[in-house]
Amino acid sequence: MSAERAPTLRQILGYPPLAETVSLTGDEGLDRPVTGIVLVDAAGAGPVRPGTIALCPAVPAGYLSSWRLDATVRRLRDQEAAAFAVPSPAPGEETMLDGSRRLARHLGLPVLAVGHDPLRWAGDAAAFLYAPAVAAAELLHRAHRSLTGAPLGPEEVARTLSRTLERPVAVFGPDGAPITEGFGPPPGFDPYRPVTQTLTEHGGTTVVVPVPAATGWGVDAWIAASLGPVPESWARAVADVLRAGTLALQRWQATRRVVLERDARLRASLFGDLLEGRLDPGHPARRDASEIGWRLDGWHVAFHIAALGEVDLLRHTDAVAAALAAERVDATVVERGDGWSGWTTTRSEPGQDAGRDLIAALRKVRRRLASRFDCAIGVGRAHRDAPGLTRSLAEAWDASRIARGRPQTGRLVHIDRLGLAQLLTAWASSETFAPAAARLLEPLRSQPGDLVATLAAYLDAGCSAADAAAVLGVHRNTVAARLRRVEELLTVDLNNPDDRLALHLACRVTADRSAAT
Amino acid sequence: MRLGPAEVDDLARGTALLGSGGGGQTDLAARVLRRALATGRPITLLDPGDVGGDGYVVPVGLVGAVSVFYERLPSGGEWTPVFAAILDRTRVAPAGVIAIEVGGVNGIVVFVAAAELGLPVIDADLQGRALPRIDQMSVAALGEPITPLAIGDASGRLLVLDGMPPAAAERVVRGALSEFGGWAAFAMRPLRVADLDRLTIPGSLGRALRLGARHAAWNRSADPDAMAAALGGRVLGAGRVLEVVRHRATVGFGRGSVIIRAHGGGLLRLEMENEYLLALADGRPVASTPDILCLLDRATGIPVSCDTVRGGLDVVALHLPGPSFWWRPGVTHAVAPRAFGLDIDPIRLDPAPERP
Repeated sequence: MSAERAPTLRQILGYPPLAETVSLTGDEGLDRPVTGIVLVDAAGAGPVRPGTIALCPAVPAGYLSSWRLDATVRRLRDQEAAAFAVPSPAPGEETMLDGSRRLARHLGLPVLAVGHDPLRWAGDAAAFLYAPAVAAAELLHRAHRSLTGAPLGPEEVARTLSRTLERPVAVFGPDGAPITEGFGPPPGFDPYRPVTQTLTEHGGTTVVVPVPAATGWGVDAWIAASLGPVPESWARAVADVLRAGTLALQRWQATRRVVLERDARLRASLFGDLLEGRLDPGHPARRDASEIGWRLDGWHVAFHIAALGEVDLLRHTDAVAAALAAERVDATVVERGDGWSGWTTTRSEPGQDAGRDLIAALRKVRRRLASRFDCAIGVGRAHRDAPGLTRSLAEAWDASRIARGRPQTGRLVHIDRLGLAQLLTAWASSETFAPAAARLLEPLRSQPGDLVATLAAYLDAGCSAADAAAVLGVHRNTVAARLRRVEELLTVDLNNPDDRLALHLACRVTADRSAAT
Repeated sequence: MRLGPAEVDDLARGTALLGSGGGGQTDLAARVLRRALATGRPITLLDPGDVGGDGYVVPVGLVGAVSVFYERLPSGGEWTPVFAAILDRTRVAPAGVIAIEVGGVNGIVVFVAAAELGLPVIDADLQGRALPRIDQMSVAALGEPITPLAIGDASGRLLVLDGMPPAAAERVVRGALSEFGGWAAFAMRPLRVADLDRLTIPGSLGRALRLGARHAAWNRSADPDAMAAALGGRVLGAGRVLEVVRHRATVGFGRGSVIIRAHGGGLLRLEMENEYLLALADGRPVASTPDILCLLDRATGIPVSCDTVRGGLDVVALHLPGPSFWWRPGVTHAVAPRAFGLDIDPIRLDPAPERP
């Protein structure tokens, strides 16, 4: 601590317990270092070491306007004091004359009014000057006491720390966006450096500490305190206090996660019942569903938000719910597999406008979540009651599969806009199926006779060799012979419907492809 | 020497300077004196050496509020009753009168009284400057009685005090003044001419005349430092009056402060009561009573009194040595700053020899 630069007068005035202090002589001369504090009498008599604040704890009536103040200011200036401190004049009491203020400025010796309890001020100032570590420990102690009661959410942590530090405190999201009221990130703040950041601008210091993610890497949030002018040692003490706040936030997150996981398990089991159509009226699970707020009667439109990449779903459930709420989507949301399924419920069948609005809102939700993870969203059609919900959820799930491979639709697909056939084709032409289709038909390409076209015509004609022959303009037996060769080359059985379906899709996709090229 | 109109001008200037900002403004008193001169009665100023040592002189003057003096000028005949009362009580035949106070109005009024009484003025006074209280007269400071004393006016009201210590006499006189309309003519115990060196400030009227004559050279282009040197003093600072603060007192006289922003950038502060008492340059005490502190209008050189100083005036602050009498051991305390409630030791300007 001895190597520490001495704090300046301005920084001392910025120290919260000394906040009542005002300079009676304006802003000048406040940037000089202060090395100590000493008590003097009203005449300023007695030795005063250079750089110390001379505090006169009691002054006679009328002192501030008397010549003795001038004489004291002069004497202290000659002894190179940092400032002269006096009790604040009571309202209506005489204060410094204009001429005396001017003299103090001319001599460069600020006169401070230190409130109405000068000895307490002296104690606080002395602790701050001579034992900043003790003052810091005291602060940390207070912070610890106020943070270790019931778990506190971000807002409450910010409020509690703000009370302790007597300065504004805010919590930012991982990207630096404020999530509590107060102030935003200061210029120069870098949300991608997960370390304590002490930023000073216009003499004011802001300390920002990261709240490490539960997974051990990355940052879940930031806690920031806006301090005004303070010395380095104090900024470090504040960083320690804020770190106590990060522990409180982590504790809150852990507690919240336990609650979420418990909920998630219940929801997952109910959701399983729902997907399997077991939530009929009278089923015991139905009561559980209504207890956690699921609405099963009425018209439902389901959607599925599939997170792309490795994502810890529970960590983001709150954010998903918040994003939906922010876009005014009144939905029930459940973690499911790779993401979250949800549905909105209305009393009557939703019109086209409602559908459009929901899709527009979900598009915005996707953008809101973009800073956390990328996702694909599928939307099902409107269906009625619990069985309808099951169906809509299945459609949404399927649509989200398709949406994954379709960046051109903004990774958002609505079953309604697709039609089943289109859906199927769309799926078949997806990045996964198209190459497989090409590979499936590959053995036919090197052979004489237009085997792919023959196979496609046969399947399109409803498995009638005669009709296919008519379409192709060849003999019926030629078609039959070609089909036998196809069966041999591909080792398939055209009487098997599964084989037929796969081949039909493959033909359609390769036909589409060659038409496109 | 016989007083003529030219001497009255010099006297008016010189007594104003020795007033140290107090003692009342001398221009009206000078008019009253000119009127007395116009009656043709000779008024003479004698050196104490010119008078036989066994003779007696009577200190005369006026006491009270000088502001009321402007409103009610002496009409003639004020001093005869008080003078008669003192002679009646002491049975001496006076050789002349001396001033009770050379600074301000009293330095001139002594000649008005002398004209009325038909006596010469002996060159001595009891203060050597202006001071507010009668217990601050040299006689009182030396521990000698100032009674019998008498105050009165032309209409015959008369108060004679005897056997009272100076502080009590001051209180009684101060309390009685309102009954006399604010100011009263004053005469007190006759002093032996042989004791004047010990008990008074001899030669002070002559000093006022000399100061006045030299000060007459002050004009717009005068160099303040050269003028101050010619007057035997020095310049404390020159600049514009920034602020004048007057504090009303519940007892005693009101206090005040004059703050001057010097042309050089520093600040000069004068503390005043009825007179300027203490000067601080940039917070450092540089001059105090019993020395004489004056504020002069920069352009005209006319002394600015404590009553009339106001913000915005362009002034020169002057420091003149006070009477050496007040630096004698045992008497300084009576007029030092602490006598006026200013908790500081007196600061003395080494008297420079007045220029010939």
